Amino acid sequence: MPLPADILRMGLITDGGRIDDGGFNQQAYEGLLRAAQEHGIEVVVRQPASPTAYETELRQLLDEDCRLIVTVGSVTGPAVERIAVRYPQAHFIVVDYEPLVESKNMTGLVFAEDQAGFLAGALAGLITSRGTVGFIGGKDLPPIRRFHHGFANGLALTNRQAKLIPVYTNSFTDADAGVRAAQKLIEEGVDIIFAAAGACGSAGLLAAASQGIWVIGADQDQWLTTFQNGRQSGADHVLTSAVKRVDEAVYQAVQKALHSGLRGGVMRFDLANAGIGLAPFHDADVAVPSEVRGKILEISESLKSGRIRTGVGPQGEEIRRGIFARLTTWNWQAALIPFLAIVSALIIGAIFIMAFDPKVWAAFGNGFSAGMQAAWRTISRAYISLFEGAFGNPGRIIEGFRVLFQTGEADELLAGIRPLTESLRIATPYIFAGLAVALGFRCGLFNIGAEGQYFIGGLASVFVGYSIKGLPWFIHLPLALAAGMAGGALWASIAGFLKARTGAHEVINTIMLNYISFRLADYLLQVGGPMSRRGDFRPISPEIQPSAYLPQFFPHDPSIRLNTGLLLALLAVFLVYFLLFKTTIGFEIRAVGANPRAARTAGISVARNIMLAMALSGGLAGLAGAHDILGVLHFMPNAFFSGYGFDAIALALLGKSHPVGVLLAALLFGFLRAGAQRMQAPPALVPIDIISIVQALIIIFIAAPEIIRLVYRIRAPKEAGEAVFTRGWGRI
Amino acid sequence: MAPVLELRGITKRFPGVLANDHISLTVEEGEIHALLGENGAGKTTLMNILYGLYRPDEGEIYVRGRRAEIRQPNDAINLGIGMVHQHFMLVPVFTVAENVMLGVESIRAGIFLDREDAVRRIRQISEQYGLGVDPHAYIKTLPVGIQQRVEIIKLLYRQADILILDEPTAVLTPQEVEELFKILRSLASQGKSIIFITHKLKEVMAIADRITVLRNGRVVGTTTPAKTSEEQLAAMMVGREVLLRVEKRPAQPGEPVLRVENLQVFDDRGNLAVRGVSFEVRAGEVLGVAGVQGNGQTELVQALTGLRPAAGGRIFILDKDMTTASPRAILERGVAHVPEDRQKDGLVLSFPVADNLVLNTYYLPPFAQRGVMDREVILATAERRVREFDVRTPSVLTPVSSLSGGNQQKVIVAREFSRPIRLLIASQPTRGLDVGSIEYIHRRIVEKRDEGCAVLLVSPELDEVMNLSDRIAVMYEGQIQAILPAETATKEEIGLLMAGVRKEEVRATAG
Ligand SMILES: Nc1ncnc2c1ncn2[C@@H]1O[C@H](COP(=O)(O)OP(=O)(O)OP(=O)(O)O)[C@@H](O)[C@H]1O
Ligand SMILES: [Mg+2]
Repeated sequence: MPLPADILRMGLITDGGRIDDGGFNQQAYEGLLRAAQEHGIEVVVRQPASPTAYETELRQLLDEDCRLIVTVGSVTGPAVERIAVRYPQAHFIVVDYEPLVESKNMTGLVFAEDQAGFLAGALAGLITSRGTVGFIGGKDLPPIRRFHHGFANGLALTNRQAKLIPVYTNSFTDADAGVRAAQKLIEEGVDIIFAAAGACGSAGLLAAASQGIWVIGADQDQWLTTFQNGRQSGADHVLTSAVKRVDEAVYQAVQKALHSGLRGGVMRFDLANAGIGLAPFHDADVAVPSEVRGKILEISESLKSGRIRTGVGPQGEEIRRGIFARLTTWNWQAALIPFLAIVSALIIGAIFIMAFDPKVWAAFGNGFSAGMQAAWRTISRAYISLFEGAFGNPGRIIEGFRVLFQTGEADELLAGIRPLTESLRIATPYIFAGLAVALGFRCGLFNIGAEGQYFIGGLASVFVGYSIKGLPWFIHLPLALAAGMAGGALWASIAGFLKARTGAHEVINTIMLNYISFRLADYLLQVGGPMSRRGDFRPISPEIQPSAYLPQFFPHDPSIRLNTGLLLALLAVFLVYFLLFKTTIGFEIRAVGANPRAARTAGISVARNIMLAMALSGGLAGLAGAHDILGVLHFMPNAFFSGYGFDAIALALLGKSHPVGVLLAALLFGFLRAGAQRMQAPPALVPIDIISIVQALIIIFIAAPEIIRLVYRIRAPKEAGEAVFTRGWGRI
Repeated sequence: MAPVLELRGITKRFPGVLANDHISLTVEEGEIHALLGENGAGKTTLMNILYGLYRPDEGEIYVRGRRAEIRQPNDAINLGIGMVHQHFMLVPVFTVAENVMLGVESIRAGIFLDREDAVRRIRQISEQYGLGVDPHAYIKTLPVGIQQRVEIIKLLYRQADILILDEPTAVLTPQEVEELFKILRSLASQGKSIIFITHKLKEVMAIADRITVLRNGRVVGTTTPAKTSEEQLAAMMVGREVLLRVEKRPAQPGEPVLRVENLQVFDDRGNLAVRGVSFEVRAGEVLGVAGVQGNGQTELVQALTGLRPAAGGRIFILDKDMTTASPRAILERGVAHVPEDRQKDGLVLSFPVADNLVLNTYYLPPFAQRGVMDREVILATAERRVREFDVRTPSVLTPVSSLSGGNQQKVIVAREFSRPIRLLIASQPTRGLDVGSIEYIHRRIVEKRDEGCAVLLVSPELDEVMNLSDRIAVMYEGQIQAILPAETATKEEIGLLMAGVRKEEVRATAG
């Protein structure tokens, strides 16, 4: 509702500053005065001595019959909020504050400082020659943060290399602090300073401009105010100012209150309604080339139309979106430690290789340098074999490509990449099994039974594979895979059920289930057993039907065993990721894993999630078994031990229980395993156990990152990660 | 003489936060120095720096006039600085002596722990300062107040003479607080210096020799109880005047929302903790439950929220029998629950603030559609809640674990108050909060009441119960001694009831 026409007085309360401060308070006053004069209304001004006085001043103004009161600065907001509910007949306008939704007689004036800052930043990025610019902020408040991060993002838009050094003085009034901040920035080599820190910032700008540094003001056109229409020395170094038209905003708000009435909430002022913008260049006009002007204009238009965003949230926080942005926020340390762990493990592995080679010892008998040479030969031969076994011989692969392009013959290339395909094949079940354990970890479960679930998955899929005949592959294969998954899931569910119902610890139960599954396989596959191959003296199952085979990638070259199971594994990585981090089910699983008591209090069923997570975990392990049966062996021997179940724990740890981490870890293990086979053969002749040692070392280093931090002097990360491995024994 | 401890210009930044901003502070020998400040003012951070858990970005520490480099807690201990954390660090299945010996084992004959020696010294310390702790008792059998003394013994055993106590009284009953104060005075009189963090102004006035107030990571001022008042301290802390009392209109109770009939609940050990209580809470009223901690309040609340089965009796919420309902069914019936132990029951500490704000609504639209969560909406909502409830956090993606204790509590309150609710069950909703936040949360509770929400408030703080409640139920040994109207109830009367005196007798004494 509009305020009554007979309103005689309006009030203004400053944030403590004076109405001739050449800033904020003055602008608000001028805007209010302009509106008041148009209507012949008196204006009463209060300049409180301290923040504790806001409420008292407000009450006094109300007693003096001020029905419309403007207060300046977000610091006044809470006081107004408390008063406003008690005086519903009056209306309050607060500059720079976003009132809470409930207040109907309180209007906040909010500015898109981020847009002004963004334009200033874009300009700075185009003008800077040293590539380093500075920002001086007053207190860490939303408007200042909006200036700051808008500036940073604008700068990054036009000048990717440019560096921004921000300084917060924690004051809007302390001139010395402003000068000190400016001095510090100059010492750090900036050639442009943007200050949004009230009088404190102005002092900094004056000091900087007089030393020939480009400065950018904030709030008002500081060339006019602080630099007194260019009369102050250094005025020729005022590039521009990121202006907030507080006067205009107050004027508009008051007009609206008097005419049509304000209904509370916020009025936003941005580029589009000219509530903010860049000031004229004034003396700096000559220094700004016309293509720069064009560019700034273009950015300004794009901001108005919303084609570019400033990337700053309502509280002044930076918003990062998209893959690129996420990569830049990627925690490099998370990747650094595993990397260093691998390098360190390989170095220690080299020492073992050397130490186990009698030739090296013999060579050391002939002097140190001869010994070192022999050691070098041994180690390089071993690791070259490892590399070639994992990825293939680079020369041969290049040759393969040449042949392919020249003759169209792919055989040479296929032979060249065979080691790589073998690594990937080995990695495939690792991916499934690693995901299985990682998923359990996320729910606070330690699934040691992946090995047993792998077994059962294998049994189920082999059974479906050989016993059902005459189905087309597109039914038979999915059926066999589903059987493998279901087998693993059911097997793990036994432990899940016991844990959820009785609290029996899953570590013990899954270990027990492992043994049961091994013996079960022994029984089923023994010669003459229910699933044994008729007429064969070996304890193995019958061949599965070709319709249940996982198709090979290169069916005409049987020596390449890589099959489409890899694609399924990659799909599983994505699905597990999606499940854990994008769905409510994943949210529940992670909540139960991280704090079951809080999850329960929040209405999440702990028991259900434990059973679900265990079943999913088992299903993934079962798929590992199904892959080995349907994709590689095509039958099941009773000696089906793989060690996957135990390696999977290492994979989950290595991958920090994150699906992508597990994928990378599984690939690493695949490469190491495949490479180790080559290393075993001539000319390297290094025992395969060396690779087990290397793997064990990697795991130790990952599990105890302090060792790596100590050796490489890396500081500990600031925050702990989210992964939960497992909790104490027998608790829910 | 140089002060025992001097901090000069200590500055500590966290991503997005200036937790300590050039803090300078001196502590004299034999002094109890209270550290006061809003939630997130940086008190704990400062103490963690002093104790070597964090390295300061700037600033120097002088101990007995000497510049000290404190890189890790061991350095602090060697300098005679010890800290009792708000969350105790004791092994429950060990005895007092074993806990005290952890890390400083006295060793006899090579590898054998010299237990007798430790026991002897613990006895001696216990007597010297009047701690009254049995070295052979198992930690898990001791009440919280005694566990805290074990923590103090640990420090004294390591010969600490600068003791840091971070919110030691937040977990104590009023009696235990009194006893703790006696101990602290005795420690101070024997030359120990104590830094004491609290949010309770009364305690500060009662025990401190000097008071330093922090705000936004800076020192606002140092004063003494003689020169200041509770109101002044509150204003210093918060930067504005604070209403230490709640302003509220008389209640207008409507329909009963919660009705409890002869409820019985077992505790973890299988004893009957709630022994047949009956009461109702109406829309638009606050029923306060007063009582010394451990008289069945915890179990009562757990039963009402579906976290503990009822052994007998019935619970009706909005006229529906919810005695055997699941926690979720109860939440969905419009019940909000602010749990007693925020870190254990209220929050998933490793989750970001935003996720904790939807911990019990994550599956509902608009936060999720057909099982897929909508991050954008969750984040946007979180931004608003954080602002509305003034949660001080660098961002909504920050894990709650790195928020200060009071701000963690605000996250819970923000979550529970932002749902459409008919019944609010709040256990110690202002535990660990600063006066400004207490004022705020009290106001929100009264607002909820005025909106027609029924409120069940459980708190061992008699002041809080008396301030907020319209009716007061006093619990003693699992039973409700009496339900009194708040206007006429007196502190003495409630105190007597809390101590187990029966209602008739109280009236007799009073009349
Ligand atoms: N490890 C951390 N990482 C990031 N920020 C932190 C960390 N620890 C504390 N902070 C931040 O530093 C500020 C000061 O926190 P601190 O815990 O010292 O407050 P406090 O004065 O002890 O508050 P309370 O009374 O609520 O316990 C807070 O804004 C907090 O969010
Ligand atoms: Mg604290």
